[in-house]
Amino acid sequence: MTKFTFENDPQQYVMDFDFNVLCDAEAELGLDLLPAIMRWPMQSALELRGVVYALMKTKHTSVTVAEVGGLLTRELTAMRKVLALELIEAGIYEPREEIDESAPAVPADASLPQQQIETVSS
Amino acid sequence: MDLPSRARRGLPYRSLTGGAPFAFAGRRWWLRMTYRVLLDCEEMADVDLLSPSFDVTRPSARLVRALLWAALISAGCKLSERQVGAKLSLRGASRAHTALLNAWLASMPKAAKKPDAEGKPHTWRDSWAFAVESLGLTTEQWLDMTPLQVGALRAVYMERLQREEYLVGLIASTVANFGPRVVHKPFKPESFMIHPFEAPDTPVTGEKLLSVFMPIKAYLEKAL
Repeated sequence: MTKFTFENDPQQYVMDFDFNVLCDAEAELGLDLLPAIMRWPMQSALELRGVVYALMKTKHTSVTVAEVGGLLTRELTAMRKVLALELIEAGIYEPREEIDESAPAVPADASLPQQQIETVSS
Repeated sequence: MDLPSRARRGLPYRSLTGGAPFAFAGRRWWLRMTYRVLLDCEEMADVDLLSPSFDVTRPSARLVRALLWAALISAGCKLSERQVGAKLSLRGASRAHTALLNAWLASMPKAAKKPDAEGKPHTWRDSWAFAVESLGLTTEQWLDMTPLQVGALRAVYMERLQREEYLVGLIASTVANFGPRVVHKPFKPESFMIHPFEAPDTPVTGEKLLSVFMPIKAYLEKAL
């Protein structure tokens, strides 16, 4: 289970994996979400939204696909990072190379949205 | 001493059925893809496993849950489909997928070199009809077998059929070759067989490879 927040957004979001919710989301959206998870990070926008929707639906039962789409529009990079951490933790995805955090990958003046991620082992 | 027998406990022998092990809910289960498991899975996940577009290597979550549930039920598990789903973590789902894929591969016969009826889609009803009519199995016996087992029975059945056809072909070819009509090319018993023997695989030799590559080499030398 991963709890996360975004800058300028007081709400705390939670992503949690529930296989039954994933199955229900597949039936609801008409998408095969498990193969999309397995081939991370190579999925379409539709699949990414579906996967995030299925993971958020576990705790935020009233969340809609449109709301998840809106969240992804605002915080795409941060959401992908949260999802990647969740998949790394589950052993589904292994980053190809270690990221050297001391080397800036973006220009020093570029500002990325600050987010707080907290992983809770369930 | 009365040795514990799997058959006596109502479980088929693994070496006969094929399958793969899977640790789940604190126990080790042997997953088999019997016809009952495959048909249960189709009913639960609403998929067509015989469809040409079906790809077992990239299953949906619904298919993994349904296939795992059906295989576990067949192995004696008492959980419902949603209970099975509730026990699957993300890591567990990945492991389940691998185990199901292994069980699938180990429960299926080798693909035939030549399809029986080209262009005709194969249905569950065809499989059932062949098993009941030609192999003499009951529906229950067929349901509890894996395609690997039925494939082995089918191979023996075809061998017997070919032997009978060959013997009849031997008589027919003798009559045809020594009859009143002039035969320019003698008939062989195989000429009268409905299910002719498959040509044996010829080994790939150095000479064969050279015969393929030499013209290419000659062409390239000429072109350059």
